[in-house]
Amino acid sequence: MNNAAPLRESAHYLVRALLLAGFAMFIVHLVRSGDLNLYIAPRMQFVVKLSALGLYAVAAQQLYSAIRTWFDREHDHLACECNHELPATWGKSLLLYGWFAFPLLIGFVVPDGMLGSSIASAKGVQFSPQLIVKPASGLPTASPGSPSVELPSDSPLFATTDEFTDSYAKFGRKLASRNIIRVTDKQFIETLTTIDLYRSAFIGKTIELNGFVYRENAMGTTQFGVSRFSVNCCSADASPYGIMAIYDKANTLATDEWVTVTGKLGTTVYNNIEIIQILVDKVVSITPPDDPYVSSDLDFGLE
Amino acid sequence: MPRSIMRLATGAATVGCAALLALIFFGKDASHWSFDYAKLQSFKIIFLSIILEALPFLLIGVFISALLQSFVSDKLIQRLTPKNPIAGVLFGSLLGIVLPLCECGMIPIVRRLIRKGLPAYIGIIYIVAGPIINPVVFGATFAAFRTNKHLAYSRFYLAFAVAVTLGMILYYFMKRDPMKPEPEKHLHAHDHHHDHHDHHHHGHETGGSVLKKLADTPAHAAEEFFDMGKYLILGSLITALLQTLITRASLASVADHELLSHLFMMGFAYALSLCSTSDAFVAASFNNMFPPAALLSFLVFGPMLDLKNTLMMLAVFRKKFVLKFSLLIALLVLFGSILFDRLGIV
Repeated sequence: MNNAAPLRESAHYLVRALLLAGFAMFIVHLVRSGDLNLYIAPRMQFVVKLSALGLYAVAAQQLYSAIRTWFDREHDHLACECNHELPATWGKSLLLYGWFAFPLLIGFVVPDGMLGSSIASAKGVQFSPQLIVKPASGLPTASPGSPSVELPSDSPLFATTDEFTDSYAKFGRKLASRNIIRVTDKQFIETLTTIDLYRSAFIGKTIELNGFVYRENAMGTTQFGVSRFSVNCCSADASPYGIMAIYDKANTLATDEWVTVTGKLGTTVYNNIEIIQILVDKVVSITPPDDPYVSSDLDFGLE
Repeated sequence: MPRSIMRLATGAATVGCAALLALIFFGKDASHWSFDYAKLQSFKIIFLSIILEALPFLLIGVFISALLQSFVSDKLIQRLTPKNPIAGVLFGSLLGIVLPLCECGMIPIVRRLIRKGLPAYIGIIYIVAGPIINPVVFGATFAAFRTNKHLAYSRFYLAFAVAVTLGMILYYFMKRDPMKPEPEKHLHAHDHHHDHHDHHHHGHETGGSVLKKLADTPAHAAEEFFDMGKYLILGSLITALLQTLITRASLASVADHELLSHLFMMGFAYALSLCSTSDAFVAASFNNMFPPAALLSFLVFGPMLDLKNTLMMLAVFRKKFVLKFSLLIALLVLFGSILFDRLGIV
């Protein structure tokens, strides 16, 4: 038996142990710093934390193999006779392990920042969330006979067309009875959608919500979006939602700054469609929340 | 030989990605090399979030695969496998209901099962149908499409129809073994020479205590983790780049054209490589831009085939097979979703 082989094999196991432990440590690091919220939606975080344990376990085994291979190099060792293969050359090994080290390097070196206007503008902020719950008009629809959902007309205020918009109408009546509509993180999307669907019932009402300042070219100088990303699993599925705001002193606000906006609801025309707009009374800068994303409320309409 | 091509391809992809990265993060105007920090951070978050979310499923996959290798004999697998092709196809299509995993976890398990004698067509059908036809995805799809239950149901009908058709085609027309040959070199099993073109029987299948087998499990898992992980990282990298690059608004112009809207949504699903548990929410955000039938293409095609899982499949199956198989899925989904539209099911 070649004497160099066990040494080489031992080194492989050692590098693998380090990489596996590196991934586990990265997860632990994100949990400790609270930055895991930037990557993974709360409902998926548990399995990601569990995977850190799994990675540590495999890393420990690889470390054990490294030590075992090193000390047993005089004997014919007991490694399994399976069909796995270690890379044949140094170059290949470097490429393989470097490839695994690459995400870790980015993970530890590039500081964590929140998703903001840059990615929001690439994805397109949804300022008219009612469009998401009603099928597009003017586009070819499924079949001539399929039921179409009409836009609610002005009267009655909370017209419904089916069982589902029913839950929005119910929520709408609840919201409209409040003095100030405070938009919660849990029902951010549902609240914006309801206000947009039944806008005539909400014009002139006071609203208060948190979000980051979003700007794009089509906006006027006094306009900005109060936006949040909706994330349901991981930030790869992030979709930005927002509500337009108009404010005399909008230029005092930095893009991507987190704010609490209070103002009266109205409407405006933006990109040829009528959308909700907040006539801002007050803007307060806030520290970004620990959990910057919102997600669809799966219990909505089921309460 | 294919190994060296793969290596070249990986190298080329790496260089290409590096060039793209440079283009994105630095201004195009070479005289003002401004660094777009926000884009780099968004890229980082998306790139790593895909890896982080896939890790638990990949680990579950490699562990189950390792346990199968150690504890389940080839004989048992062969005995439990349905002999009748129709039963086999149904079994593969519906296996996701009892074994709900995402693609990252399925591929190592299926590779192991096929090597243990599960007919390849059944395993492949599970890879295709499993990410859609399972209870977790069922729940998520209905949550995202509460306003359009037809679309939610259609997703499962079409996925099932495509899987069954594909299974029958594979059963009758797949003559060659679709699996890549296993590596021939054994670094740590120097004096074993198996016949590499047949099913493999591992030493510890016949001998060895339960304890020894249990101790071997993480070793197998580690091997497979590195085997599959490299493709996962490449897939996540390209996906994150595309997400940072593609501007959604610039793509909306194709929405009015029926065929184009389908092709576009399928291409989009392919490039995004989302997990099937969250893609319904993303599809819902396109509700106002695209007709429901195009969303159906997105919802069915994405989980069956995307960038991330194509790369992972290349680790397991022959390149030619993956290519033909991908084209077949694309055609079936396209045809199926247009048919669903015409019949008024969507």
